Amino acid sequence: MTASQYINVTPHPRILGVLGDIEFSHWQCLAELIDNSFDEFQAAAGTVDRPSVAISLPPANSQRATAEIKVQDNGRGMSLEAVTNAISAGWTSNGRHGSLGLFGMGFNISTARLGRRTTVRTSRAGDPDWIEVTLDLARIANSSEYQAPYRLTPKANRDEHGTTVTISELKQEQYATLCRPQTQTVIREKLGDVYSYLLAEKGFLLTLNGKKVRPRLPCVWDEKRTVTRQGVEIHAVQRIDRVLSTKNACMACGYWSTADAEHCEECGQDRLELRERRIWGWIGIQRYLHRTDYGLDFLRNGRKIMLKDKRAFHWEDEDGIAEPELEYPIDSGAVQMGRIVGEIHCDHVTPNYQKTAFEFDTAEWRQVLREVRGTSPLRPKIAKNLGLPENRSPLALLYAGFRRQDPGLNYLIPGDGRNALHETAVKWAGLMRKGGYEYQTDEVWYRAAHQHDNPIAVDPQPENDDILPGFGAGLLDLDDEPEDGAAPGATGMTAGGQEPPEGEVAPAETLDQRLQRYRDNADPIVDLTGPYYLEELGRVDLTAWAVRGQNLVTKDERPAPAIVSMVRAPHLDVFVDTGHPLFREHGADLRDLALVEVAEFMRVRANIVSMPLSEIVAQLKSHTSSPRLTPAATAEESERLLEQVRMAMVAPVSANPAVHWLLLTKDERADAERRFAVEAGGTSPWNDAISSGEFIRYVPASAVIRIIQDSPETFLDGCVFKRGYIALSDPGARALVVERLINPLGDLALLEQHRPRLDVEELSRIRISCRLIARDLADNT
Amino acid sequence: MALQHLPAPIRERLLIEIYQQANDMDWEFLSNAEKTNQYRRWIEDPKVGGVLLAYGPEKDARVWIKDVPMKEYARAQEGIGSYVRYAVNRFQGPEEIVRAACGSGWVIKPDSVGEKPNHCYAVAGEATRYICWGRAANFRDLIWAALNEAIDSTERPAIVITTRNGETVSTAERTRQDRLALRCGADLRYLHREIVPNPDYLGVTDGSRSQLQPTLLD
Repeated sequence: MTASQYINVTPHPRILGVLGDIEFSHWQCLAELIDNSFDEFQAAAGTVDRPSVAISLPPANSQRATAEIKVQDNGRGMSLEAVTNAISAGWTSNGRHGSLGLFGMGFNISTARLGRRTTVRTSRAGDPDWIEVTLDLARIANSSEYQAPYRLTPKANRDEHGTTVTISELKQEQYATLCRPQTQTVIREKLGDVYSYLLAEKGFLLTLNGKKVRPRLPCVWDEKRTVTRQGVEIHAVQRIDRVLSTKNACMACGYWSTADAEHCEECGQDRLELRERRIWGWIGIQRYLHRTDYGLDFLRNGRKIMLKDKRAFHWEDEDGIAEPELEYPIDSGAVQMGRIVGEIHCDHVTPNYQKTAFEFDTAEWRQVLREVRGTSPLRPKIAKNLGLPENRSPLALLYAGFRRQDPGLNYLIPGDGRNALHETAVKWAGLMRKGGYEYQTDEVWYRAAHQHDNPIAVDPQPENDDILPGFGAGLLDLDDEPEDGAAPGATGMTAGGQEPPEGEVAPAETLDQRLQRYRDNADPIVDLTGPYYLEELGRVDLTAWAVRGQNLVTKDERPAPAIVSMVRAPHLDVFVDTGHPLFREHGADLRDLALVEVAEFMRVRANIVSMPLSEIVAQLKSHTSSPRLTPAATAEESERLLEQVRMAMVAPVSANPAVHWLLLTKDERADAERRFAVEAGGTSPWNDAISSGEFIRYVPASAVIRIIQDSPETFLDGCVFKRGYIALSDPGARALVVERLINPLGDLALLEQHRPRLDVEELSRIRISCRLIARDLADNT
Repeated sequence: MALQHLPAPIRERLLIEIYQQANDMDWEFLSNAEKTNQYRRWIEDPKVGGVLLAYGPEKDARVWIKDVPMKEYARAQEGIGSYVRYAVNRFQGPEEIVRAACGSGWVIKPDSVGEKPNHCYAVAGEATRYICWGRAANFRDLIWAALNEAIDSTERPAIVITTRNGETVSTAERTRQDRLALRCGADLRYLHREIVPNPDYLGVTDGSRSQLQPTLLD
């Protein structure tokens, strides 16, 4: 018979110090300690007046010998028993659910990582003393026993409460990095992001070296903004709130057992607690696009575990072995930019010990993903091809509504009538996060999206009166002018300095009133609007206005096509008369002229008239968000438009795919197949693309043109292009219509296929071709 | 300073609005750059700049916000000065300081509260003590005031360094301050204070900003 024997597996006390070798970045170490305080605040549920945590890191001028890190909270404080547990590795009062502190190791890992000595000072309201426990890792390791001395110091005021963790004898590398002001700024920003929900919604105060950690707030479109797809209104923000069945959480292993289980179904222990479970939050559309700054945040007990996560944008066939496939963003050309963001709370899902991810192989996590993105692919056609049901999840809705990035209200993308203003939108987001007053709502972005659809351009010639070329409105009897020609509100002087009409003499219009009248009859030119700062000339905050139907006059009543006015420094208004002959007849660029006026204002103000005017204009121009006339920008625009043309052609081609396929040369077919192989992701076979007409999306631009030329009746008359064709009976007229379309398309094709060296005039021509094609595209929703 | 002819009801409305906003944004924890930004934002704010600019140019408006309400803000939170009733939250007052500095048995000497730095006298029987208080950052002013007082008085002056939630003083700094105070013959105490709803508050505290109405002075 063998007697039972035991081997003592108590770890050596050195383990405490070794925990500090675990890879945790600075902010993560601090976050572990903040988590403990924030957990306590949430558990106290409103009994603490203003839940606050103050962190102090050693200043740049400190010395390592005396430097320390402090994390001080005004929570309820701890009893001797509680503080003993709090600092014992592997012990946690929270169990594995319901709070941020995990496994009871976060405290030991983070304090050991930063320094060799940790003091915890704590007391509850009403207790007579402060309890001060010191964990000296070197001493504990040498003593071969886990022993931490504590002492009691009497409180001056019994009402005081809270806990302070002080880490000293900082490790050399940690100290060297932490005391840098730049590191502290980075940590402050990171914490502002990770805790944004608790700081903004729960009013927790977090300071780092006496400066407030500001929550990084989402910059999303208002919930009321919508787009319409196939008759369905899609809101820019989708709320998610799914109450799950109540389950038994195992405090030992974290497994969720059924509500009636008596023992954990995973580990067999009986430390079960019945808990509510819920997945809630929102996903929405950011007001700007970015290469990396988008994606979903997943939170546990108010802290972000995963930030800007893009997992939900991949489709994974649950039964397949293929790699997850990216579904968003895939529509934005060479440089993929995205803007779907969100905040999903899933307190019941187990994170990894570093709190940087969740346990992805759990039923709980999969359920979260399902709630957000559903199980089918987001792309409806791919889903259909695979025989999967249509995806109606919140993410699929946003995908349907906002996956594309065409400027205008149709996709909620700011634009200037020609191009999207992506960079400007990002700049505005920066101002929003800095607290800029007018950027707090989405109004500025919305105005710019609206302006794209209603672009600022030179007023077209009055149409009705143009009976003979060259004899336009000027032929009209002057007596008629006041009735239908004069601008509303234009009382008093008219531009030409004519006397006001006889009869009542209207009171003279003040300068303020005049400017207001201009504004009332104007649209803002968003791409010029914004702050400008020039080294020698100072700053202006410019608002540019495209005025219609008003004759502009300067302060001294001199008529001018563009005027500037500074009513309140540094705010400058520039007004441009879009109907002025300078623009309407001579084709001058109204944006350039506006900047000339601004430049002149600035150099006169600074009294440096020796500075060349054109140089100032050039500098101003480089500050605007107006699109550049560079080969790259023009090529990108051409590609984008051709992509739109191809997409729009899929439907008409699919009616008779074989006819169009036969028009392709051998080389073009090979080209198309290659492009398909690279871009389509291999979910459906090439043969299907040929028989469904999808192939048109991959054919070279030259072939697109030939196919349109071959059967214009298939693509014109509002099908792909607006221009009318069928109604024309004369073959010559028909040919002309097609030619007027093919010529600009040819320019786009040239740029997409060859990337030739182009001079400015050629680039201008291609840019105009782009505008002509964009104007002629039928609605593509 | 310009803008002094601001009509009283408008001036009051502005003070309530600015103090309310300062309270909401934890003014005392903003960096200098953030404060500068906020001055600019107040000028843009229709509820502040929009009103002020009707009474003077932008430059004067900015100076007014900075030199009138915000200069007094910290004092108002201490319960000192004529702007106390605009502060949404504040500390309990000098009694708390006296208790921390001298313990029980001492009371504040009537009308003895002064500023630069904040100070008062505490009395117990025949004895009178000078007490000054402030944040750790102003320790230099506190020590100078205590030193001057020590020369003229037979009682030991006391310095109280106050911290608030979100504020902490490092051990190294405390050690230094302790030694300095000892050398100067002053007692040094630390007091962590909670900020509480201002009992003298003039604005409406129903939690709803939009219903904030100016309360006219009699």
